[in-house]
Amino acid sequence: MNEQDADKLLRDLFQQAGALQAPEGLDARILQRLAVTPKTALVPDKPLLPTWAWAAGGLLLAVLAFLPGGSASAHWMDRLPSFDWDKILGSPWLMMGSATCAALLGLDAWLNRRRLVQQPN
Amino acid sequence: MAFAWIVNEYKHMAYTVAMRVLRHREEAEEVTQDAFVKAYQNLSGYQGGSKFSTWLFSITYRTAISKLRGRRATTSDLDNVPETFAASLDSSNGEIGDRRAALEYALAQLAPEDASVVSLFYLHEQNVEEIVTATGLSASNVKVKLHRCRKKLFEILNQHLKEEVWTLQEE
Repeated sequence: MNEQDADKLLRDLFQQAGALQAPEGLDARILQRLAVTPKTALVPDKPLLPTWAWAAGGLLLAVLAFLPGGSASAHWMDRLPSFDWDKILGSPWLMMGSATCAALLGLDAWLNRRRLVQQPN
Repeated sequence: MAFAWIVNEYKHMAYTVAMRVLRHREEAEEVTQDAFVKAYQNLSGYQGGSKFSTWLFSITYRTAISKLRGRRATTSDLDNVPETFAASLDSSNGEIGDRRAALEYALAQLAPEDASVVSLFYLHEQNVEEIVTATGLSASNVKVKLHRCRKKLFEILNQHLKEEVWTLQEE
């Protein structure tokens, strides 16, 4: 007898034997417990930084990035710091730091989502 | 209450899963109750990614395994604790009863986790992916367990089941 035949025989045998019978009154006891059990919804934890803080930070960085470079000008805006994109893009430290931040944020988001869909143990 | 329908529909299946792992009626009933309560509390966490039965079996199986591990941690002589299926199924008569008793006897020869996997596959008709979801085992592990258990079950059943009853399956 090959494995497929054995498989079919076992399947038929299991199906004929059926499931074990739950003890009498089990459903009533379960419903009795459910009656006093609060139904809890999964509530995600608040993020460390709220969405508005990310938006404000992004906006601030964008403003700083596009400000004209400072020189001996009298205008107050020219004295604000501005990004030198050539230096930023040429610096492995800054680029790797940014990539690490992005990876950690992605990991955090993934773990948070995974926790939300996780089945109870 | 819609959940009452769910309890009524799945109580035997969930109890069977718990019993396969624990082999002890009171503990299996306790685990079945706990599993339904957990399912009720976390119903909003069920997102339809798998069949509801798979989700419920997963909760039941993991609750039962936790109970089993707790028992193993606190019990030195395991043989004294579980009831064997064979002893609890001696009252059935006739061919169906013989087959059921033989099957339960054969299942009792397997490790609890293996008996659960086999039961999920053959009785509850869960496929390998669903068993992976329910048990947390890897797909290759499930396949190996199924292969080994199929062979072992077949050997035991061949030894213990009367030939005429066993051959009835082939008709």
